[in-house]
Amino acid sequence: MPFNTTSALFDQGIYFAYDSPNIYCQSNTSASDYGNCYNTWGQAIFVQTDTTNYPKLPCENNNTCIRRTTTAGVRTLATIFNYSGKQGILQYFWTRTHSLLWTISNNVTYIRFVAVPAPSSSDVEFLWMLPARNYEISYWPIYDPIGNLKVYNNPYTISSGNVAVLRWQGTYFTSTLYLLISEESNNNVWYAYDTRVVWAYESSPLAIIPLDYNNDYVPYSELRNAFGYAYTGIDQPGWNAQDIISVLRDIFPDRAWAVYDDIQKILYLYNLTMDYVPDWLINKLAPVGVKVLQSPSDSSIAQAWVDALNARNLQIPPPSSSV
Amino acid sequence: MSKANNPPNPPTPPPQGQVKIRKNRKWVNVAPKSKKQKGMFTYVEFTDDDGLDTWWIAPPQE
Repeated sequence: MPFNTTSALFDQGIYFAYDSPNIYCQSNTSASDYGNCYNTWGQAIFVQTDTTNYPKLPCENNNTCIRRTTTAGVRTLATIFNYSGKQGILQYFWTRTHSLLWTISNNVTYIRFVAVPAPSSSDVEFLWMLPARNYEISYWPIYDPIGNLKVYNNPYTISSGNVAVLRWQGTYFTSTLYLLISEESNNNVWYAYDTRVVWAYESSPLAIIPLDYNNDYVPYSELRNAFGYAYTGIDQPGWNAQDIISVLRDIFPDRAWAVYDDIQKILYLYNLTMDYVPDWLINKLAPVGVKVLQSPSDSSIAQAWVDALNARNLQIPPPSSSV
Repeated sequence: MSKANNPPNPPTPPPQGQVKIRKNRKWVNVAPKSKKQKGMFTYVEFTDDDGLDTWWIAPPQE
């Protein structure tokens, strides 16, 4: 199998099966319900830098939002993948954003407050996927048959704010892909988004450990020499399964992880047992053998590995505990 | 008829209490400790030569 195709899920305050949810937050500081978020699934994002007058927002108290206390020009919501020495092939994304501020203009060459996958960490309006400025139709939804991009402007109504939906399909080779949102340093704003991204990469030995890109992965050059990073925690290709095992043993001796040897078709488990490996992961990798390098001394370590994988990956069928 | 054209010998049945698995391009008899269905596949558990607890795809049921 020369390539693997994979997908990542980002559900922040909203999720795919919510067809037309009325998700919004109250950003009017004069309103009695200021700082509340409504109808969320999970947590929306609320940007409020004033921690003196607003030490805690109601949506923080009831876990319907994540508070950001700094503004950003372009915020990196997530690193989708960052492959050291290998490339991914972006094939498809679907993204929907509910936000207080929303602007798509100039036939989608200007995007603000919409979560968008892009290969550069600073360029939200990455033009390779956008229609030709001034020459494409400008009524909604916009469909560009060359770029195969479709954009919906407010396909349904919410109580406060706007809805944008983008869908792109094509082929783009890149070693990095980020999920970005252009905030343009606005304060007292909110947004919720759900995004699906599909890409492919060369079949390789994989490090299967959900990592935080900035805290767990970037500081270790050994990790970056051994394998790439992916938000899914699975699609992290390296060159040599034994090298991946030895570096993970050194750096994460107390975490659960797995390594898939794509030549021998063997899945190695560390601080895990076969019981913790989800069926959908077995179906995806189809290992001939599974070897337990070390059983978990604490089941919570293994459970944390499973929970993170379930949250970041599309499972068919979904686990019974999901909504 | 040349040797290359002979069909391969069918694997001999495993001894009682063992199963025959295909590992490293050979048929190997192992005594499974347990059997488990995971996703589309069935695995048998045994202790491999390297001393590791190992699950291997089970042979088709007779």
